[in-house]
Amino acid sequence: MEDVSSRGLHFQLSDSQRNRLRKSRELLREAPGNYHPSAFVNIADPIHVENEATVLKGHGTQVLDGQLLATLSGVVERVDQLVTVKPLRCRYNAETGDVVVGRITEVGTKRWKVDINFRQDVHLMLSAVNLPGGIQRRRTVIDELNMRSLFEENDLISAEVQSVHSDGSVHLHTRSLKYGKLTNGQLVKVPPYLVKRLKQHFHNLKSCAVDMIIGCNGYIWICAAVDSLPSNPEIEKITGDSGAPEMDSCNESISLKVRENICRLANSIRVLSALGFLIYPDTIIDTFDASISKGVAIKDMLGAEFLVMIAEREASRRTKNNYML
Amino acid sequence: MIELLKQKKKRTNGIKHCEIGWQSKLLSNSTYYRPCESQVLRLDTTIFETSRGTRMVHDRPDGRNPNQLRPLVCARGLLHRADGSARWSQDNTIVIAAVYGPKAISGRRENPARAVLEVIWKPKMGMAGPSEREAEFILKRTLEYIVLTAMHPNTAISVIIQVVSDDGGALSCAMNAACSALVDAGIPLKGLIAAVTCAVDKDGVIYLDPINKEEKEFHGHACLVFPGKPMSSFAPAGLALDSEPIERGIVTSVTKGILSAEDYLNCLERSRAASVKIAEFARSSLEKAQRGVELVVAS
Repeated sequence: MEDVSSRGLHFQLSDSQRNRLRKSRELLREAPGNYHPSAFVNIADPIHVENEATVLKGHGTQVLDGQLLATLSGVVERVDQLVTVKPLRCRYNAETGDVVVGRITEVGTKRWKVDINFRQDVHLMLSAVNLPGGIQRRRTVIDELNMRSLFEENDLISAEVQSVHSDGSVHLHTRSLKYGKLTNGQLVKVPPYLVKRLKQHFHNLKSCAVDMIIGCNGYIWICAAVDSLPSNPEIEKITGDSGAPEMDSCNESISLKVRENICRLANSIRVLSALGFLIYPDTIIDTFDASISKGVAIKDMLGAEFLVMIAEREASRRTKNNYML
Repeated sequence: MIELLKQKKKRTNGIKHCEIGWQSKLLSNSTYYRPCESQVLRLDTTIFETSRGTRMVHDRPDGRNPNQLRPLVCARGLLHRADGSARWSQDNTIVIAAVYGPKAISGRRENPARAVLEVIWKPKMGMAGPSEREAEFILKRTLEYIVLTAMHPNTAISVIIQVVSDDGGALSCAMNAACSALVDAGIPLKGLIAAVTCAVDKDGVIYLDPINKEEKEFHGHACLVFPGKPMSSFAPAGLALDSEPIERGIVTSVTKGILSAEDYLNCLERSRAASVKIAEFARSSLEKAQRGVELVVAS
């Protein structure tokens, strides 16, 4: 086996580490909860269905001669009558209701263009954001001219996917107080297929005083928790209690301990993505705690030893308790 | 005149008989003609029969027989920034294909009904010239046939081919690499393709998977691309041969040099058989890659 290199992270493994990693991989492959080998299909492979006429053909399938064939190479998923083929690696597919973290690339007329690792740049309409002060009114020409005061190029925002149109264009909205511009933190990019859609994408880790937003597009934002920041009395005066917070683009100063926590969390996410594990808040916190309990320095977390250790932990946990992720 | 003699030769088992027979014929001829060394039957060549009569098969520099392909190696997922990538090598011909997409496209190039496929061919040395443009165009048309472009309107899919080393058959190698890279990128395809090159010498003998030297020496060569599976999503239903459904279609055919019609049909047959092998190899390599692509993809 060559050196493990995944998504740009290169690990130089010694022989013993390579063996340990290989063993963990074997254990994980046999552990319960995996896809059965028969579920994998290649392009133009027939998918076995009981009655082709009653089955709903989802993404990745096509019908030829009364036979259901796959157009993607991946895993067959069946939900009631719906048969889809989920590819193992592909770009992010936006769905309505997804929480995403994106970067503003362009300020246009009445809209912003946002990069969310999607096929195209998506739009955030002026009418879909909360105006400062929280007032609901019609957007005027002055609002259009002042778009830059809300979001500028290269700003990071969290938003929700409002709609996906038939021509492939996607519209976002930030129509809630929890969405908006992001400050005081770090962005970690992971492959989007490692992030599952959950009920909660905003996580507050009280023990570390850190907030985490796991975007469905693979962009994960880790920042200092809002309560831990030194409160700014001026801001409270301006916004009052019912309005949207003032979009302040300056980052405030954060204590060293919180910064270390942020870095440690970011590194645990990077290790998980290098191993190809799904990114859940539980697994991230578990990796975080493991690194603290083993006394691993933050910079060593991206080293070969920690990588192999996490793989072994996961393998032992899966096989021991029949733990299904 | 030597050609005439060769044509009349019957199939014999041992080389010795041939030589004697040939020489005896020569002696009986009134005008004495001493063949030069290059035309003398070498001990290590063989004679076999084709529909046109017996032919002499020249030895290949790397010792393969005419129906043998070079060893194939396929690696996927090598470039982590690209959405999909594959390296396909046939001995000394190595080609890397990278696929980016579907991604945003703006301006007059965008098509509101389907995705736009663009191919960039980068040669090993020097700047891209007209022959590279030709290869790009051929690849684009071939790949447009298998990619389901209507699924992603207003986007572009870029395929970039980098020739690492070229020892003959680079175009077919690139086709195979591009197909593997498209699968790696998770772009929906109608089916897979398998491309083979074959060369024909002046006697009509067909050599599969020629190296550069052979391509230059022989009369003509053809790059033929076939659909990957016998019963694939290309052909309309009802095509059958002897009540056995066989894919009779061909996706792309590029020929260079002098080929008679009969030579071309022979090439088609031979290459179709070889393409089945290549398609099997590509499929098994894909399955292996699927097993190992991620550590855990649990439900």
